This record gives sequence, structure tokens and C-alpha cells, in this order.
Amino acid sequence: MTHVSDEQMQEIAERGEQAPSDIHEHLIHCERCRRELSFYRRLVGALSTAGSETLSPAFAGHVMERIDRERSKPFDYLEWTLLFVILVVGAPVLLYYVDWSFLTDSLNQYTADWGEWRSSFRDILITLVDSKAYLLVMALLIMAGFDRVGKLLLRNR
Amino acid sequence: MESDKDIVNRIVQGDGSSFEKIVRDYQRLVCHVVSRMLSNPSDIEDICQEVFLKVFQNLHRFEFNSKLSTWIARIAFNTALNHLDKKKASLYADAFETQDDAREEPPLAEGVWTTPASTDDIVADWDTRERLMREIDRLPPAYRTALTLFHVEELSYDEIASVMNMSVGTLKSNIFRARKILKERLLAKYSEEELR
Repeated sequence: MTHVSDEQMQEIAERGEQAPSDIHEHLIHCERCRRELSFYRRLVGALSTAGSETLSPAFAGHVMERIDRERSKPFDYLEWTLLFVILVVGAPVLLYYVDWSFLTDSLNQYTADWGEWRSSFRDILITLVDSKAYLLVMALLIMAGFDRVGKLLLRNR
Repeated sequence: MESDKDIVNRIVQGDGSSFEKIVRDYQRLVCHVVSRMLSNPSDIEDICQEVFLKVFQNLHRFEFNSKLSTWIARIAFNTALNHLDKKKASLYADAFETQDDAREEPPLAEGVWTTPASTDDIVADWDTRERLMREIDRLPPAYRTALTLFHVEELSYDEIASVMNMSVGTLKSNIFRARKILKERLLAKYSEEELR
């Protein structure tokens, strides 16, 4: 029989059992394999004690303090309230009380010298602005901005 | 004795103070996973705290499809892995380090290899154990973690594969390779003539 493979030796050492009969036969006559298997057996034994790392005795207390801190933060409640207020108050203000005609005028001016072939694109843009769809998108973007700022303020309280 | 399921249910229903028992029961496991993954000891306690914070925040999602220990170990592994990524360290770094460094250290006490049945037990011999720990520390994080979960925490191959998000075949190959590297590095400190 050829020498016992490294993998076989590790399996035997890991299971902590007697080697199968054919391997056992080989081990009787092969000192090299016997020594290697013996080494693996001791290595497996040593590895089972190789976990000496410990955390400080106060670790569990520190974790609980951290959890308490996290739980006592009224963060989510305030964040959602702020977002709701911005949506309810901000959207109508942006859509109905701000005069957005300057945008249409600027757009008209900007696209005045565009060629004929681009006029339909310009019309679409102007239609969008007039229909306030564009304004709605702007409003949403501004609200998202407010929301971000709100979150930052709350985080840094 | 109260089961993990009872404790988890109580915590999910609002009894946060019961979580301390979970921390006490699993802090060793988490510490082993994290300390094997990270080489900087000063990070370990912080990362372990972060792990338990995530466990607490996600406990309501745990459905007992696996053991609680496996689930917690997976969170610990992923948290430590994220930390490794931030530090741009590799899970398999130094896997094929040359033997040159190992040869620089003085040889182990005589007879460990030549007299396997002698009283020179590798576990009992503090000096040898110290060297073993040093050699384990030189292994890549993935190997160290797999070895520790298998030999120290006595998790099954299936459980460790689930924790480390790899196939059982890859895991076994990692463990076998890790032990082989350890054997080679430890034996490199003895006369190689004795191996023949």
C-alpha cells in the first residue's frame, strides 16, 4: 500500500476513531505515516483548546447600554413626522403659491434660437412646465432635500 | 431551563432586558468569530458590540430555520467581513506564505515529532501551545475562522458552511488545507530528516 494521504490522516484524526483496517495494516509497518497520524491527532486535540480569547467582563453590560441608547432615540418618529409635515405643507406651497412663470419665460428665451426641427422638443418642455408636472418633480426633489437636512439635524442633536 | 425560542419571543414582544442572556450565552462564539477574522485586537470589542446590536435589531426576522447560534455566528462573520473589506484586507491573505519566516523561529523542544506517544503532549506543553497559537494567527482569516468554529465551537460542517456562506466542499478543503499548513509550519521547526 502507498502512504496514507494527508486527507485520510486528517479524517481519521478528526473522527478520533481507529483507522480502517487497510490503513491500520499500513500504519503497523510505516513509521512515517504513524508519526504523521499521531501528529494530526495531537494537533486536533490542541486546536480544540485554541480559543482563549475573551471579552471584558463588562461586555454584556456595555452592549445593553448601547442598545438602551439606541432604543431611547426618538429618531424614527421625529424623522417621519418631519417628512409628513414637509409633504403636507411644502407641496401645496411649492405648487400653488410660488410663481413659477419665470421658468417658462427662461425656457422660451433659451430655446428661441433653436431650429425648426427642435421646436417639438421645446414644446414638450414648455408643456411639462405649464402642466406643473415639472414643478411636481422639483417639489419632490426639494422635499427630499429637506428630508435629508432634517435627518442630519436630528442625528446631530 | 428557558429555551432560545422563549427568550427570543420575549425580546421580540418588547422585553429588551432579556437580551442580556443572549449576549452572555453567545459572546464567546461572537468573540471567536470576530477575533479570528480581524488581526487588530483593539477592534474586536467594538465589532462584537456591533454584532449584538445587529442581532438585537434583526431578532424579529429570525424564524428559527437554523440554530440561533448559527444565525448569530453568520451576523458576526458578515460584520467582520465588512470590516475587513473596509480595511481592504483579504479573507485569504497570506494563505501561501513561504516557510522562510517560520524557519526564523527557534526550534521546538526535542522529541515532539520523534516520540509521538511520549509525555510531550502538545496541549500540555505551554510553549508548544503558544507556538501553535502564533501559527494559527498567521493563517488567513478564512482558515482561522473555519478551524475555530469546527474545533473550538464544535459546529458541524453544514453549520460552518452556512455561517461562512460557502459550500461544504470548499469549507472542508479550507479546513484540511489549514491543518496541513499548520503541520508543515510546525514541523519546519524540527529537523526535516526526522520526517523521512
